[in-house]
Amino acid sequence: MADLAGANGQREDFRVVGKHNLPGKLSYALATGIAKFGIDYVVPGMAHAKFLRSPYANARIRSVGTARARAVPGVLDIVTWEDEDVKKLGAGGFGPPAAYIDDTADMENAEVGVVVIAENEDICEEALRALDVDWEILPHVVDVLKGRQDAAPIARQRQDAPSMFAPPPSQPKRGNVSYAATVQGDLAQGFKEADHIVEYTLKLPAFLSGMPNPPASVAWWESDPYHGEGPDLHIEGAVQRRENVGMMYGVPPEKTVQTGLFQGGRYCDWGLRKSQEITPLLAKRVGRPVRCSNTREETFDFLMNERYMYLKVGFTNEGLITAVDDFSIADNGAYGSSSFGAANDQGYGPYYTLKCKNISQRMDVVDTNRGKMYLSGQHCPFNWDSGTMAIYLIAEKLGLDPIDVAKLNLHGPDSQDDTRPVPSFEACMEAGRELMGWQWHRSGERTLPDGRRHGASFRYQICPRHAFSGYECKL
Amino acid sequence: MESKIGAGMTLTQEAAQRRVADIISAIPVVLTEYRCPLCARVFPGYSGLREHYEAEHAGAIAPIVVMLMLNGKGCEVLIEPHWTLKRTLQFRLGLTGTKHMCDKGVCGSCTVIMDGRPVLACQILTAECEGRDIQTIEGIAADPKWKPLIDAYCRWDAMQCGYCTTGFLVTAKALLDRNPNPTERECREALAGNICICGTYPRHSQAIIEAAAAMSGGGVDG
Ligand code: FES
Ligand code: FES
Repeated sequence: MADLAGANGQREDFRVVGKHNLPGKLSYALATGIAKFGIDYVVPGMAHAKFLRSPYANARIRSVGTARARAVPGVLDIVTWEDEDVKKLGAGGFGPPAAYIDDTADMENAEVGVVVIAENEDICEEALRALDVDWEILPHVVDVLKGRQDAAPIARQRQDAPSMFAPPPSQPKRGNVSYAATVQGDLAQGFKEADHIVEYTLKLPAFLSGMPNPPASVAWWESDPYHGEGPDLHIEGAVQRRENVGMMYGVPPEKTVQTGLFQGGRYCDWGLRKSQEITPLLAKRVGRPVRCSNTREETFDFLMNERYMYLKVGFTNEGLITAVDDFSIADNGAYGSSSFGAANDQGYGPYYTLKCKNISQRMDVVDTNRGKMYLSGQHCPFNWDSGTMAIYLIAEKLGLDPIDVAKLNLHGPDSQDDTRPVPSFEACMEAGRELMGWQWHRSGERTLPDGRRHGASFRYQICPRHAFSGYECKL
Repeated sequence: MESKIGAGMTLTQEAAQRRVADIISAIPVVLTEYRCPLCARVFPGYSGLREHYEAEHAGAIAPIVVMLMLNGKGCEVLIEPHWTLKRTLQFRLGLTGTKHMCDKGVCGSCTVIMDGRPVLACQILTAECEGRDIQTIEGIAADPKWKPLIDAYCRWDAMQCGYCTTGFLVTAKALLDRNPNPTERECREALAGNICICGTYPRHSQAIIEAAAAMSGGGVDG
């Protein structure tokens, strides 16, 4: 429940809103280089690990010979998907329940089959080159529209497990395509109430991940009688997922230690990669701290998926949206793209930030071998570019400031029927307008003196995932 | 009370300056042990390591000892000949302010100053650095002369996640060394080789211009 009556409710004086030039609590640590990210940790006696990565977009390992790799000087251990302790591990991060690693790769560069632990990364790489891998190369799909066709090769070899967040699909999966349909209200009635209707199509290209720091962790085990039986797991580089990694190894939170605070890309760094999850197991096997780091190329995941969208939006003369008909085709990427990718992300939806309740949202979600789509963005399209586009089209049509259109359509904090304004939100919007010198005009109405067009855009974005991702404001 | 990541941690400029000074002074000047990178055996002298290589790892290229001049201090490091300066700073000297982003010479996160010029530590072999004057972010942050630059970066909050920030700051210091009063355009040109995924670009020029004014006695408003 929003605290509209309490401290954050009707208050109109703000310590931070509308002010700039405020150093963050962590600014000096970051600016001076003291701040350590996962990849920065070096501890005494540390060994290094690297995964075998698939050179193919869709492939399976028939067999792997490790004898030559084990003979490389400096190799400490080689772990394969057939090892019992790996089988017990289970995926700890994104994705529906699955083997932590197995013999299957459904994207190029996927971690597959084998992990090498050695004295340094160069030796790991040499040992990986010395593996005798017999690959079964399978046909792949990298085009979402081709992948949607009946004759397309199957992109995912694993069976999808149901996601705990997603509602049941609207019809059974066929080939690579999962179907989602979330309908609420009365669409026909909503369009009848509209004074205007706009229809538009939009294609969003896949958008590459924004993490500046290659994901890495270093883990070790140490005795700690103060927190009960068994050793503590010390892991650096698990950032917000310290407890999740602890859970993967059956270690309670009070015995899972991490001193590092920093994460790159701020809120984009919370989906752990396998390199950040595997180190506790490897450290246990070799009895030493183990570090595992991705390279930049190995971190080349997509943040947002590719989507083709068709939208039809009805609205009144005031700009109030009365109906939304939304169909899209979305790239669901490789297996385990997000917790939501197995069916769809519409457990959140549809369009839950809007006052409008007459909404049909249908989506074909197509598996491909392009890569991981960590934040698939399927959950709430209106909060992203498609919604912003609708607001701009309404604004253009009615000659209204898009910020006012967005504010008009946004419901209050409690429910879609809540029409109360939220003073802190209003104050943020006004402060933002003032700081930017925001003066909206219709597109093309004014140009720079040399004739060029210019502009700043307002983006309507209330991403539930970012809202619950534990993003720490620095102020 | 608060247990979330980052909660409750505030580091003042003075505390940060002391920490980087401590990090620099913790770097040993001479090596006292020589560890084999292939089997982790430790030897008290370099000759012992060489003999071990000949006996146990014949055909492998032995590590070398390089004398670096870092942040005004000479120090010996034992490295393999193919190691970059970036790798040496992190894995031998504990200087992790020089960041690893692309490792390909395109992002500027690993920028250090060598003989007065900003260079990319991920693209330079440590073996080539002997006798060169190298400054890292730690050396700059520990030097009271550059307090206004660090302050301005923090005051303007010219960082989001902060991963790229030290690379920008080192480049900015090199700019101010050769041009104490840069224009915004000159700042932008100087920083053109630094990438910030979080998109903090406009604030860097603001911070540098403000630091330049403070360092030339012009003061800072507000
Ligand atoms: S890490 Fe050296 S330029 Fe990117
Ligand atoms: S502040 Fe995050 S990469 Fe620049």
